[in-house]
Parts: sequence; structure tokens; C-alpha cells
Amino acid sequence: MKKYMLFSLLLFFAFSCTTYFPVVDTATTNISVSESVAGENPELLELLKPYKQELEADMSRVLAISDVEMIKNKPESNMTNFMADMLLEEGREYCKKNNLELPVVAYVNYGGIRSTLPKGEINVQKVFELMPFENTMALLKISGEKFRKMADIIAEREGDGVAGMKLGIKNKTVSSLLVGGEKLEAGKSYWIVTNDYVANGGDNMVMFTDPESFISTETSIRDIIIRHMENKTKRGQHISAQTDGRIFYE
Amino acid sequence: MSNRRKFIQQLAWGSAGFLAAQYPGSIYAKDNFVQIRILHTNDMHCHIEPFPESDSQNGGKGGMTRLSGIIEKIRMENPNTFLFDAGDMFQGTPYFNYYKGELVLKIMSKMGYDAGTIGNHEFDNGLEGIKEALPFVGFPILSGNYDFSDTILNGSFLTHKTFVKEGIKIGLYALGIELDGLVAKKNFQETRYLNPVKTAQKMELFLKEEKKCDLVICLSHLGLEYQEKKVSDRILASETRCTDLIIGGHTHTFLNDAIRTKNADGKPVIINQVGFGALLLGQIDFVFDRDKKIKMAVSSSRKNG
Repeated sequence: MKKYMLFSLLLFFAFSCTTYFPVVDTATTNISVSESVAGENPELLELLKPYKQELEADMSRVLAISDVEMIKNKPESNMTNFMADMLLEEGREYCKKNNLELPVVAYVNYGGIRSTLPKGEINVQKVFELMPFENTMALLKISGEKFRKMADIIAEREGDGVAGMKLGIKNKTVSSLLVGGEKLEAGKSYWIVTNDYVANGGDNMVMFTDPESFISTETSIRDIIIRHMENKTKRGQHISAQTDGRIFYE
Repeated sequence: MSNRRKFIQQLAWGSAGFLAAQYPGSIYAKDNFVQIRILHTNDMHCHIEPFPESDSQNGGKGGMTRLSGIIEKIRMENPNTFLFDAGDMFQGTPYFNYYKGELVLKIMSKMGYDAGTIGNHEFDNGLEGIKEALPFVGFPILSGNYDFSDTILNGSFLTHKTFVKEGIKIGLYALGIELDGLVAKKNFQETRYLNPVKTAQKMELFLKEEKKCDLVICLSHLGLEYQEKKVSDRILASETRCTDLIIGGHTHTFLNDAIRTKNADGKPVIINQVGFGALLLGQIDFVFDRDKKIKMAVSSSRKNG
């Protein structure tokens, strides 16, 4: 009797695979979120209102006047050059103030530049669109060998944002390289100013992760851009940028 | 409301008369069909309002305020509607820089999201940034392959969730992208990344067998596909057996329509992704027949886990 029960129990488990309601049909549509489909939800607009008012008041403040429209492009562009030149200038200012060795090169990852700058008035909003991330300025001292690896990656990506160096690219490899007007020396060390994202190896910049020396300024790059623009305006200057052949294809 | 009326309304909304075409006439007489509608977004990146008119590509389009208007309209037409997000809610507009996770999560909670997951940009203000935002989330956040045990986020997320609508059981799990090289180490600290394919195989089997789900859905922030050999939604689809739908993100891919492909057993699986910035809303309908339960021997596929 016991045996029989055990057998029927086993039989029960063997055949009691789960049952499901079957899918008899599917349909898929991707709907464009445009005005013709539906209006904005008034409840959400109500929730958003106080935040929006506060933000808009701050965002509309004009920081500087730009003589040109800045657009990023490869191998170089006025936009990438503006960002790298600005970072090199501000990085050097920081080092002077803190009695540190000055950086010779600035590196700005192409992907980190998120927008363009229009010709004319630049307000806080534009700077936020350009640099939405909370990245900070970082200074690192790397060997000539690692510097070369950085140049190799820039060449492979066919361009980036740089200042203080001149790079020729042929078939995605380095064909010529000058750092501060001089040939790169493997045995020498170089100070670079960049952002903490790539300094920590982001964008696969692994050669930055183990530097000889590292300074984290904890100063937001967006705040640096805003201050940089305000200072230009205070001095009665406009901002501008151009290409100058610092990265070129051979 | 009778199912029949619901059907007519749904068809009117534009889900293409797909049933009428396949079951001419007869379908309208039957009350045993249930239509489960899945709405989904990904990479909204704090685009709360439509893109500014000055935006050359997307001016006046997208944004969560308008997206919500569409979702409300769809919900009125079909109460069996779910709303899911596949990650990267954070970062992209000044609303994030000023109010961090607070505002976007308040907005998404008000929109009635049923669940969401963690994209790489959710780490932009570190683990602290996620922790500080959690009090503002009114919906569950799922993560299957980030192990937060040794971090301040331990116990903050679910590995899976099940829902029941009109007798149909739906199981949901979620996968995130590898953080190393993409997110600064200081921002994810001791978060452990588990193999997404293995996690998926474990989760789908659990949801199908233990939880007896009729439908299994994955929220993925892995990305649709890559040139190099990197795990993606395409690879995930081909290596799973019980997942019916992969709601993707990360690669900001605009698909005109969802991708229909085959899983490891040659059975159908749908992958979809809707760009970024709340510019598109994904809508996937599953029609179930509640009159005929079918048997499925899922265990046979276990070996490959």
C-alpha cells in the first residue's frame, strides 16, 4: 500500500508541470511623443511649477558673449579647443595659486562635451547643457610612456579635446607628436590637467589610473567654465575659439 | 466594462486591428481574451519637459509631462496597462544638477510607474546620490545583477517582482550594465557586478517555475547590440528560454518597431528600446486566452543555466 502511494506521488510530480495561460497574439507600436498625440499632463505641470520658476531665474543669467558658434568635431574643432584651452588656462591658474608645477597639456574627452555654444549671448543654461556632469578638475603626472599611450588612444579615436600638444594621425595611429613644442621623451614625466572621470580610467583611459602623482582639485568643471566666462566679461572681452591644426590627419 | 468593449476601444486606439485580422469575426464574441499592455521608457535623462524649440532635431517633442498625457490616455482605454522604465532616469538636464534625483523621481512616481531599474547614470552622484534619492521613489526599483550587499544601498532594491492582472501573472526582473570602465570606481565602490546572462537564466526560471508567471519580462540597461563581443539584449535574447520581452536601454536606440527574434529554444522573444529623452513610448500588447491553460515543461531547459 505504502509503495503504491509513493508511486502515485512520484507519478503526480512527474506529470504536474505547471500550466500557463498562453499568449495567442502580440502587437507592438512605438509611439512618438509629440503634441499631436496628447497634451502635457496638467498635474505634472503643477508639481513642476515651483522647481521650474527657481531654475529659470538662475539659468537665464548671461555670462559672456561669444564671437563664434562653437561646434565639436574631429580631429579638432573650435568647441573641443575652447574646452581644452580653458582647462589648461584654469589648471595653470590653480597651480600658480597653490604653488604647484604647471600642467603642460590639457585633455578633454570628446564624449564629455555634450552640446554646442551659440554665437552671441551665453547664459548659465548653455553651460549646463555643454557640461551637465558633476565632474571636477584633476591634475596628474604621468610618464612619457603613458603619455604616448594617451596619444595612441586619441589617434585611434581620430581626435579629442587637447591643448598644449600637436598630434598628427595616419590610419588611426600617431604619425607625429609634439608636447609643448618639443618631442616626447619616454623617460620624462608630464603634468596633465583633465577631469576626474577620465583620471579615474573612464572612457577606457586606463593609462591615467596609476599616475606618478595625482591632485584632485574637487572644483566642478562647470563652475570653472562659468567663472572663466564671467572673468572674460569683467575684463570687457568676448570669448572665441578656432581650429589651429593641433590635431591633424596626414 | 466587458472585454468585448475593451477590445473595440483598444483597436480604436490604433493597435492595428491585429486580432481582427487573425481571427476574423469570432474574436469579438469571446470574453476569454485578456490583453495586457506594457508601456515602457528608457534613458529619459531628466527630460521632464519637451525639448526646447531651439533644438534642431527634437524641438517641441518628448518630455515626461507630455509623455504622461499620452500614458493617461492609454490607461483610460485599457486598465490592464503597466508602465516600466529601463534606467538612466538621472542626468541630462539642469533639473538634475539642481534637484538631483528628487524631482525626476517625484515626477515618475506621479506618472504611476510600476517598476524601474538602475542605469549607469544613476551612479553619477555616487551611491550616496542614489541613497538620498530613494525617499522620493514611489515605485519599486529592481536590480538582479548588482550586488549592493557591501554598500550603503544593501537591501534597497528588489531582484524581481510579480504582478497579477485579470488572472494573468507577470514576472519582472532587471539587469544592469558592467560599471567598470563606465562609471568611476568611487561612484560605485563595493558594488559587485554579476554575470547578466547567468542572472537572467536564474531569474527567468525562478519566475516561470516557482512563481508560475504566464509572462516574463526583463528590464535591461545592457544596450541593444555591440560590434565587439559585449553582452547585449540581442545576446541575452538568444541565451534565455522563458523571457518573453526584453525592455532595453543604454544605447539610446530609436526603433521604429520592436524586434521579434528567437530565444535559445527557438521560441519568440521581443526586444524593444525607445531612444532617449522621453521622445518615444514603447507599447507591447500580449493577448492571453484564459480558456485554455497549456502545460509547459520548463525544467527540461535547466541544464543550460
